[in-house]
Amino acid sequence: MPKVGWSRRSLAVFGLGLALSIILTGVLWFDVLRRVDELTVTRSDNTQWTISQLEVDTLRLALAIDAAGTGEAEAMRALRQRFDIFYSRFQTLGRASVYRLLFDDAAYVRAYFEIDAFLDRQVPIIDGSDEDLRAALSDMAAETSAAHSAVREMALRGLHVFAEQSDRQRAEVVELILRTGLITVFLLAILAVVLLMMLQAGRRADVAAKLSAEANRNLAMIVNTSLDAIVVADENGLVRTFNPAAQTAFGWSRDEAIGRSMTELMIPEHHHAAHEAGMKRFVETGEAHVIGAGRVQLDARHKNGRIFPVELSLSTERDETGRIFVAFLRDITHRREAEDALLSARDDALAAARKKAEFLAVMSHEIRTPLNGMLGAVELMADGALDAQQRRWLDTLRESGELLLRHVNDVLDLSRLESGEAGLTFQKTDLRAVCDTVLESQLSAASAAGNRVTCDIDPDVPDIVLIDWRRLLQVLLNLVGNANKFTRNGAVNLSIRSNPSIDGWVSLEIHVIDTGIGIPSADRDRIFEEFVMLDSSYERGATGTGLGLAISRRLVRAMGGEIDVLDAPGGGADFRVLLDVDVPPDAAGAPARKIDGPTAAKGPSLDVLLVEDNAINRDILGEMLRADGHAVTMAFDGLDGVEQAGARRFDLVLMDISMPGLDGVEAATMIIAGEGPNALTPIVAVTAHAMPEEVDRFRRAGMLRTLTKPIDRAALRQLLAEIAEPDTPLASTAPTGAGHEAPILMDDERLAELSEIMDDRRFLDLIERFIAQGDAVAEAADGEVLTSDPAAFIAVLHALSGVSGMLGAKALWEVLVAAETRFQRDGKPVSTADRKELTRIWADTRAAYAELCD
Amino acid sequence: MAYSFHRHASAASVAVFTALAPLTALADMLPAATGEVLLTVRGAIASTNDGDAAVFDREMLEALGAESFETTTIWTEGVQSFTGVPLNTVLDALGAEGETLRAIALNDYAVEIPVSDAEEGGPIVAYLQNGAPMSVREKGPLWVVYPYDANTAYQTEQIYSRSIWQLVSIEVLP
Repeated sequence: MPKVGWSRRSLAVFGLGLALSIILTGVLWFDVLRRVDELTVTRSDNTQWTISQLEVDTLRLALAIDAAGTGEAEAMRALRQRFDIFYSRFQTLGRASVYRLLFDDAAYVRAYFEIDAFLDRQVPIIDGSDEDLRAALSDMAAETSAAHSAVREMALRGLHVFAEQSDRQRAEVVELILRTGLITVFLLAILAVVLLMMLQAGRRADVAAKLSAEANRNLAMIVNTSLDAIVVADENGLVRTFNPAAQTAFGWSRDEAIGRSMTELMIPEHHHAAHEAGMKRFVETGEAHVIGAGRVQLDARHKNGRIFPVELSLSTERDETGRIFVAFLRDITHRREAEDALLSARDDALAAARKKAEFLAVMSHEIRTPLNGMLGAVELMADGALDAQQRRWLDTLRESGELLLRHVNDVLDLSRLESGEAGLTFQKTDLRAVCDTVLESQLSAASAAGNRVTCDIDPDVPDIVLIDWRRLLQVLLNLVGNANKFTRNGAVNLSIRSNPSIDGWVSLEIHVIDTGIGIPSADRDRIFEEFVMLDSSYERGATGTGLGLAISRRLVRAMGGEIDVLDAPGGGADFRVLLDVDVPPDAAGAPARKIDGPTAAKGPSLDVLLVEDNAINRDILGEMLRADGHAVTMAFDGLDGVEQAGARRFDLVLMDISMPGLDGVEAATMIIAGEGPNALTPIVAVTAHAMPEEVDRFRRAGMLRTLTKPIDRAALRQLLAEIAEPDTPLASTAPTGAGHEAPILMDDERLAELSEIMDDRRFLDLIERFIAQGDAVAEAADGEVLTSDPAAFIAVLHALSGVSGMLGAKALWEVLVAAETRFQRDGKPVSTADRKELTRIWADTRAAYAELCD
Repeated sequence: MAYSFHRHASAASVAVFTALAPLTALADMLPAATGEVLLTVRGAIASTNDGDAAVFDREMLEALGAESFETTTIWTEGVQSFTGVPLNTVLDALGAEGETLRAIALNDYAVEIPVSDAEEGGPIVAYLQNGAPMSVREKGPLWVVYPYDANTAYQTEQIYSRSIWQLVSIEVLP
């Protein structure tokens, strides 16, 4: 608001002017009053008249004296009267106050006293007898004549004095008028200034009033058009302003609301007491909870009693009437409903997504179980007598089944990761060992594609880090596997660098770079999505669900890292994994041997060809070898083994003995005799039939050592160490199952060992397949079908015995091995008692293992 | 401002009588002057006792009703007491019907006095000063005196000029 009042300076000027005016006016008024008094209340007669009349009276007296000369009585009377008149006039001059100032004039005074003396002399004569008077007439005439000149003198002097006085008075009046004029001008000037100031102030007040009116209009318009309810109440909570929005929201008309209590109008009954207490507290102590607290959500009451949610912003002000409260309220019923709807929609969506994930997991599991049963049955059939055609069909069936199982496992993996069940296990890990494992496992694939796979680890990378090495291995295998798929006759390089960071953390930067066909930039984000396969694989149709990279990305993210793909300098792909890992404080000096995770095998890692027809056994043995840092190449049966051995050189061949078609002994003989790259490679027999004559037979066939199923990990390590470093003293390779004191249904230790070297998924797959195979055998044993072909039944038993040995089902294994041994050594078919025993043991074993799957 | 106002009972009765009596009857009622004539009134008057004039001796004036007041004057020294007949009483007694009075003095001074001056509390035709008759030497025998002290409106040159002394005659001008 502009300043309406006068400035301090203006006020001072105005006050000074006013004071001056008052003083001047006062002085002037006093002066004028005096003057007016002088002029209105005249103390003087027509003085000059009197004086001049005195001369006339003198002349008349002289005439009367002259006339009295006749002696007539009338003339005498007239003379006396004339004298009296003259006397009277003269007396007036002497007594009257107006003539006093004449007495300051010496000439006048002289004349006056001359006449006074004249009168004193004449009075006795006039008052005397007529005779005396008559006698004195001539003297009197002479004296009167003399008095006349004195009277004349008096008149002249009087004229002169009064003229002077008149001049003086005129001058005084002129001066007064001038002064009055001046003061009037001055007063007018002051009046003009004051008028100007008042005009200015008036104009300013006008402008201010206009602005204020405009502001009021604007405010009123805002209040009236506001979408929010605006309620203003006084200190007692009585409503003063109730805008249209408030009327709509609360149902009260403006007239109904004004002057009534806010509590009564808008607040639900059950909040009345709290509201009143709050108001009281605020008014008394100034302590505010809602006031100035911004937007607060509360319940409000409509005229019709409906309670509805409002958003309230309450502030307080002081105006001229005291404290006022200004409330902005918004009916948020709809918003609340929308929020609720949104929340429930979100909850529904989340629940649906969760259900879907659960469904996926359950479905995958449900698919897996029968699939494992199928594969188990295929294993059993493979051990039976089949012609070549049947065997090819069976191989196709098995491969397809295994592929399907891998896909299902991938999906399950993904959905597990999706639902946040990554279940990471951080362990002290030697990154170099992990890389070696990757290299070795990819050797065959790489050589098949004509690629050279290398690994570079920067010396700065710590030897030991804390990481879930299985997950990291899974990722790296996927990346290197992909690189091999998309690269022909090129190079694949795995490199790890580290950027030191503080507090025991290290940033790892892992690159898998190939020289292959690369990935178009447009596809770079897409490839990490689920079920995306770029149509450029050299092995299209052979592998892949398109989930590998999606799983890898999820795993990396679960570990707190990131994965992306860059351009490789050679035009290929460059997958980059950035990962922060913890470095255990004692890592620097810690011996590698003590590491929990995959550690370098004792001695150098070996390139192993594993020939095993039983998928379960192959998996388990393969995992054991890989876990110890060896490279493993799988052959599915004897023939396959011979072929693989002919392709390139291996450090070691692990040869299962009982295989359909070409068995282990025959295959080993062919490899040794074939003069291929592995003619001099050590071949180790792997068998459950560790009878001395059997072992002799294997040795004669050229197999260096015999490894007894179920394979003990320590025994395997020992064997491999001995083969890698022939100096190592040979240890006994006696079967570990000696002295079967107490049949053990389920060997926990062995299971723990297995679960450590393979991830949960594969471990459970194994158990399920084992159960499926066991069920099939138990069913066969129960019926009469297989008894017609005892050899075929024994083959089935053999397959199951290998698996049960691997999985630590010792009781079952012993029964199976015993039956098998009796048949092979004594030619006795499986007896009914054996079958019953088998069925019983299987029931117990199955129960124990089934628990693991739940 | 010591000034006392005395109205004689006779004056009151004259005033009352004057109001009631027809003018013609009043003319007959004005007695002839027996003593020295002090005042002669002529002109537009209803009552006369000497031809077309009404003349008054001291007794007659006194009979009209006396009024006294004290005042200073510019012609005298100190507070003076004056006794005389109010001018309006004289005019009423004569049934004067005019606007202006022309007053003439023994010394031939003449002045016009508006009839409107003749009001109650206004001028008197004084015949006593300080309780004594006034000689010609003392501005007597009749002096028109206004109560100057009682009313500042009487302190003007015009009023002073109307304060005619040594009064001998009045002419009532229409």
